[in-house]
Parts: sequence; structure tokens; C-alpha cells
Amino acid sequence: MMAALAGANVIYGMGMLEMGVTFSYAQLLLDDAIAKMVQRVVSGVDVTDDLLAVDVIKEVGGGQGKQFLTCQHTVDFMRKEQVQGGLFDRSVRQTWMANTGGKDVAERANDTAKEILSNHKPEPLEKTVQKEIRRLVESAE
Amino acid sequence: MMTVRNHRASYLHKEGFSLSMFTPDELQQIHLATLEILWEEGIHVNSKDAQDIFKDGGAMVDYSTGKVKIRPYMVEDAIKSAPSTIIMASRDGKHDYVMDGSRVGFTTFGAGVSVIDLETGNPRKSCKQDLINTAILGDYLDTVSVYSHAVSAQDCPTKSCDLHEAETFLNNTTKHCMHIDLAHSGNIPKYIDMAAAIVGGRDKLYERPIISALTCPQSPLQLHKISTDIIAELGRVGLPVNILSMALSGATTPVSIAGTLVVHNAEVLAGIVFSQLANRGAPVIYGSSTTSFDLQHGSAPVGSPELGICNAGVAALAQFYNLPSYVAGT
Repeated sequence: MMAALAGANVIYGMGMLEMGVTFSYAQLLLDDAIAKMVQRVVSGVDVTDDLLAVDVIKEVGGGQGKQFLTCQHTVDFMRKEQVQGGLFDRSVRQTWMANTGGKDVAERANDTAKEILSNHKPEPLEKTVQKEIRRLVESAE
Repeated sequence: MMTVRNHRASYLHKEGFSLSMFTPDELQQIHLATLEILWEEGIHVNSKDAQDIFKDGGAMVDYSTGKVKIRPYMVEDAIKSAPSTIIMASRDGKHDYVMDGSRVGFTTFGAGVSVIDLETGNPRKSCKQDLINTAILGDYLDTVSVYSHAVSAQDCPTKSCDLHEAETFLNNTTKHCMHIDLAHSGNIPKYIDMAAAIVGGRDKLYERPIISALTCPQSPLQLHKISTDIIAELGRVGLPVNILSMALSGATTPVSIAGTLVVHNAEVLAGIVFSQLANRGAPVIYGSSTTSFDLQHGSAPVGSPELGICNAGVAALAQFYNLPSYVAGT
């Protein structure tokens, strides 16, 4: 977080545990969620007429029963202004138990990693390029 | 109801939320202290080729001890000739990542020697399959701006291990790849040739630098042959090199963070001077894994507040020099 606020171009360490000795897939997924939240903090508070929302505040007005939940303004800006917790479950305990059966965040992160690994297929290199790379590896043996 | 709110003739708009580490005077003072160290004390260089390049560039070289004293103007020149923007190209052209100014991005850690097994949950030695997995996950996750070689493939033969690793990650992610552990000077040209095979020739790497490498000066104040070889050879074809100091305050540098930043800065700038003497204009990244050495536990904690402070300080220094930064953080 501090390096991000200082504007470092690449911050490394995603997935790392134990002073750089051990890599954890679950930690990588948790760091992904944390990085998204850090990016939100870094993006700061935009102060524009749209976001000051003076007209919206006046339109809704104050008092019993007034709310912003159903405002078009809320729908329009919710994704830009708020970041989701991803793997970090923001539900109350009962909802978390009902939805996950009590699986903690590390277990769910590990499951997500397995799911990505079984579904995501990065674009492969061309066969001739693969062969050339293999030849280079073998030439060093 | 709609109120008319016209454009303002002047409105100072700020992008982003930031912290301010140092005043301009303080940055200048860290810089001057570093210049003094590089000239008065110098840096140890053990490659004859690198010593010659430093000498030809104006440094005072003592060939019997390997001590290289770098003149202040050489440092100022190198800071100016190194590019301020680096585009870390991806092999599919869809994930090119721009490093400059205060843009913030993330990468995987590199390189671990053990992993938490996906099935058993227990730690074990890392192998080639783990490297494949980290590359696939890095390819998938949007927050991973560039892929850093995350674990070592310890089931591969030692003398070609670095190339097995490169083959593995190049096959399994389209994002820019940074090799963290080029261990054999003889394998550096082969690593470059792998990228050349992908982009269609060594001469195309200038336009499409799809790989880079990280190398660490040894604290305190040493640049080893493998580092100078990596810097010279990658620079020659326009590939970025991340010069990353791993200073430990209280152990390899003074216990004070300011003093640690001076040693850190001297090590990285010595590498950048070498880079620019070897290949003027070559892309270099200002890197840091600098943290505190825990004097009570004899360990190097990377979750410490000092790590955050050091690396935020490093980002500030990199911006002061207008150089792209790569620091420890997550």
C-alpha cells in the first residue's frame, strides 16, 4: 500500500509468503483481491460536478425515508466509485456460513486457483517457435 | 430539475491519492550523499570487461582491488540518458504495460524455492509444474501487469535450469516476462534468442521487448560479473534490465533508513551508470527489495513497516530521477 501510494510502477510480491521463500497459489489470489482494492485507493477521490452530485443531493432531499439506493446516479457510478472485496467475503456470519459452509478465505482462494488452472488456456506459441526454444534449452545441457 | 454548471476558466484537478515521502531538499541531499559515496568510496566490480567499460567511461579503476570510483557527472549523464518510459511489451500485443511516472501496477513475486501444494496444503520444493501454474495464473489475473518468474524449477538440471524456466513461462503466458534468476552468463544469449524466435529476430526486440531480466548488486556496494553481463547483453538488444538492490538495513547497510537508501541508491545507480556506458539509451528499471534486517530474530521480514517505508522512499527516488520503478510491496 505504501509503495502504491508513492507511485511505484511495478510492485512485486504477489503470492509470496515466508520472506520470499515460499509461493502460495491461495496467497496469489488474495493478493489479486488486495491489489484491486489498493488500485481503488490509488485512484483517489475525483472532485467533479457529476461526482459532487449537488443536484442529486437536492433532488433526494433529507428526512425520514429518503435514500440514494434507487438513484440513477448510484447505478451510474457504483462500479467506478466502489470496489468489491472479491474473495474477501463482506457478508455477516450467517450469510457467509450459508453461502460457503464456513470455508475460510484461504480455502476459497485455493479453490479459485484450481478452477482457473483447469479452465484458463493461455495462447500457445507457434509450434516452430516452441521447437526453436526447446533447441536453445537443449543446447545448454 | 437541472442546474446549469458551466466550465470553470481554471480548475486544478488532482488525479489519484498519494503520499509524499520527502521534500525536494531531502531528495537532493540523498542524491548528493550517494554521489559522494560513489566517488569517494566507489563500488566493487569483479568483471574485467565491466572494469574496462567503467574506465573508458571516465571512472577511476583500481584493477588490483576491483574498486571503481564513479565521477558525479557520469551518474548525472546516466540518469539523463536512461529512458523515463519503458513499454514492457507482451507477446500478443494486448498486455503491453507502460512503466513511467507514478503509474501503479503489480507483479508476482520471484523467485520462491518452495510452494504450498494446491492439494495437500503443505509446503514442498518448487518444480517446473509450479512455474507453469504461476504463469497461467499470472496470464489470467488482471492485476498482474507483467509476469515475474515466480518460483524456481528445481527438478531441472542446474546448468540449464534458467533456460528451462524461461521456456516454461514463455510458453504459458502472453504477458511480458521478467527472468529473476539468470544464473549462467553463457545462457544469457540463449535467453535473448528465445525472445528473438518469438518476435522474428533480434533486431525486432527493440520494438517488441517482450522479456526482461532482474539482477541484484550485492550489498554493500558490489556489482558481480553475472550482473554486468546481464546488463550489457540485454541492453545491447534493447531489452529492459531491472537493477534491484536488496539492501538490509542494520546488516548490509546502516540501520537508519536514510543511510540505507544512500547505499541502495549507490548500488542501483552504479548499475545504471554501467548500463548507459555499455549501451547508451538502454532501458533500465530502478529496483528495490530493500528492507530492514531484524536484529533480534536474525531475519529479513518483508511484512515490516520498514519495508513499506523503504520501498515508498525508493519509488520517490525513482520519480526524482524520472526512471521507471519496480519495488517490493504486496
